[in-house]
Amino acid sequence: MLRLASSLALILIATAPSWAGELAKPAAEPILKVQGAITTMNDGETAAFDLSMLDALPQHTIKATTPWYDGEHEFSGVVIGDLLETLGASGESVTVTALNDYSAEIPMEDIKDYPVILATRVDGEELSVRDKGPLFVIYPFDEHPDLYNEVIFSRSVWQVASLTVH
Amino acid sequence: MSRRIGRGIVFLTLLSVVLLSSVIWLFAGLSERQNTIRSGVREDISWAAYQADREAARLIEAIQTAQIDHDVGDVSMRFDLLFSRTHLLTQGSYTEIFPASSLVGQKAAAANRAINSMVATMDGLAADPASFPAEAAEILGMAQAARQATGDLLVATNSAFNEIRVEERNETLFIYWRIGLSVAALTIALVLIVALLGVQLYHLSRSGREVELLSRRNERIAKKAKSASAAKSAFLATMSHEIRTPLNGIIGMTELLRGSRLERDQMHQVETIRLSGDMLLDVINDILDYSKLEAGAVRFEPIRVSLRETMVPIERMMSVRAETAGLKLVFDYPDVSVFVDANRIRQVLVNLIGNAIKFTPAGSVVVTGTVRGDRLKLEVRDTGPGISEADRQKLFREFSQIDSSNTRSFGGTGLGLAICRRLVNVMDGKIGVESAVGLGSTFWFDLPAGPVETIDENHIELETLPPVQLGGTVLVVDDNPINRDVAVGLLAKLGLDAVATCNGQEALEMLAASRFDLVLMDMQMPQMDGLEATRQLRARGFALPVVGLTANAFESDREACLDAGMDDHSAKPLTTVKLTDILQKHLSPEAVQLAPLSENEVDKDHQESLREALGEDEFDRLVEDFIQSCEHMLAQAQLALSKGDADGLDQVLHTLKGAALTLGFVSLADAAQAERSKTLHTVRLEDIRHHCQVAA
Repeated sequence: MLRLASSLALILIATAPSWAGELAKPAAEPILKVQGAITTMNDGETAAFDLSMLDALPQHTIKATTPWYDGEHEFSGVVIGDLLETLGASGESVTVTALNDYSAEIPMEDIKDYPVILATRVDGEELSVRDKGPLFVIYPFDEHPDLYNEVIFSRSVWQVASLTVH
Repeated sequence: MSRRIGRGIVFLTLLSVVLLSSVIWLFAGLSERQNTIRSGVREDISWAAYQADREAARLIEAIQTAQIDHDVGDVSMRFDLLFSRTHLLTQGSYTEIFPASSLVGQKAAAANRAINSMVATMDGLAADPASFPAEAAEILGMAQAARQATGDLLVATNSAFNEIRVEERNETLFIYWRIGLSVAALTIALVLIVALLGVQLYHLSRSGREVELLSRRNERIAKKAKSASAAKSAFLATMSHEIRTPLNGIIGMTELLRGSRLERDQMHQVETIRLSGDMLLDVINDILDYSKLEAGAVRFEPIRVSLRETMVPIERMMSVRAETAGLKLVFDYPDVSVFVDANRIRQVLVNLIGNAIKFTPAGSVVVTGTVRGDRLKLEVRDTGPGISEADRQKLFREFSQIDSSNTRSFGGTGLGLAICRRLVNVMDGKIGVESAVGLGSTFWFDLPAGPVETIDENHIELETLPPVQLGGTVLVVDDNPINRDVAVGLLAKLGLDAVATCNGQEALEMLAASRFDLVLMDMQMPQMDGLEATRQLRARGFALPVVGLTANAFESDREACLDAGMDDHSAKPLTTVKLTDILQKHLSPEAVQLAPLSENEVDKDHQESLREALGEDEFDRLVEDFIQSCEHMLAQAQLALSKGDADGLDQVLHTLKGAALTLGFVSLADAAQAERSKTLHTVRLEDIRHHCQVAA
């Protein structure tokens, strides 16, 4: 009876899609690492994600004109706020670091106030490193034209490799 | 001066508006620039170029490291990062700032080409990492070429940006300068406006002070002019008084003299004196009227009157003159009531009729009144010599007479028609003349008289004076002995008892002492004038009629008289006609009684000499014949009187008087003469008849 109960509990734990403090390990090469003040990790002190893990999270699309592309484009990806919530993050800001070691700090207010996304796709096409991929921080310039300034541009990090919450 | 300042202010204000607009426009431009910068926000191109160069350096570094440790993955990653930069240099907002044709554009394109040329090799490397050692030198060479290109781009971008910065700064500086200049100009314009406004305010206050001074000066001048005018009026009044008083004496005494026993040539001389006096009076009246009109002192006071009431006195007055001149005077007008100033109409009509009588040697003068709508037109048509076109134009001018040569055949001031014209103008009417030489003249005037109402003929009460014999006691109050004598004399001739006194105080005492039926009161007297005397008299409860006598014919005098409590007013000189009118109007019926007959006066000496010359029988027979013919003549006179034949009556009375004088019946002759001097409607034959009976 006791064995049955404990094996049932194991099954329940194994099949739970998201359990606070539990995150599946990425199946493919991870493209994003989140570290710092988070409660859910899957690789030591960090939470690592591959593309399919990010795709599994709720998606958001921003259609906007940016300084980095000609004309209007559709950017889609995971909302940073949702991502951090999943990880039980708490803090004042998030430092976003790119593959080329460029980094910028995004205040938590931005993330709370706007649906800022980590874009994985532009016009439905996956972003490659050659085209500022794999992840690109995109602010909702379409809904909030006042975001169209240098400060926000500097926070719009491309080729994102990791987030550090603190 | 003030107008120039005003123009200056307007100009400066316009200038300020232009300057302000330009400043606003410049600010808008600046703001637009700012917006353009903001809208064209781009990642700093220098930064992009620097990043590209850095990535190229890192790629070289990664290749060199890989040659030692064979980590090809890092090389691919570095290449991808470098490659991601190339697109940034040729797309997005970068190309907006540096077009492909610019030096930076060319350098960017070169860097792009250098990086792009590595794609095939790098893709091959990614597919087969084992080939790296063989291709490492070639890849390194290409990477170094790319680094060269990105280095060139960095230098070109940097210098281009410096140029842009300087250019932009200059441009901004230029705009700031322009704004600064505009603001400075605007400030100057505003300061000038304020200054000009100040100057204008100063001018305004100064001219205000000047106007005030001017108006004070004008006030003084006007006061002076007014007092001068008042002095003139006073002078005229005095002159009028001074001239009229002796004239009063002349005319009055002539009147009395005419009633006395006179030789035929003496009678003619007296008539001439009387006529001259009348003419002199006319002249004085004209001048007075004119000066009053000139001073604007004539008021137009229309009241509702019946046209007949207005015309009858004129007709009466003028028929005497017409008869004397041997002319027929005909009046023709409708029975209507009109709203006019009857006094002014009378003045004009009397003047026009007087002229017509004066200038018409024979024939008739016809006065016609017609009503058209609310206007009354009065015409005086004569059968005189007519007036030529040229003369007609001079007619209504002041002091102009048609016959102004030395051989003037007619008297007058030449003011008559000018006065008429002014009077008619005062009444808002028109005056004119139609005439042709030899065909007579028609003078007309036309004036608003509305609303005109027709009078029902059944209600016309013809003014018929009852044939009464005047009687009673009259108190004459006048300080001038001549005037007193004239008044007493005329009153006595009319059969009234007259008592005279020389001032108001005495008059009051006499009125208290004995009974009077009427008072003739002079206005200007020492001690107590007529007005004050009348006021006191009324205050003491005397109700008897008081008629003011003045030397002036001013309307103001008349008003003063009535205000003081007088019943009427008459301008001197007194004449039998005026006096008769006054007495008939104001003597109470009780006072009207048969006049005490004068003593039957007979020239005994004359009769005695006749008896001696003719014999007693013959004289008695003549007297008997005379008494009989008297009856006959009285019958004839009665007939003439009833027909209104003044000439016939006068003829009869003249004959009667002549015959009576011949036989020495002096009082009878006087009685006949007295009636001759009366106007037709006041002639009473009873007195003569009474004397006839006494003589018989």
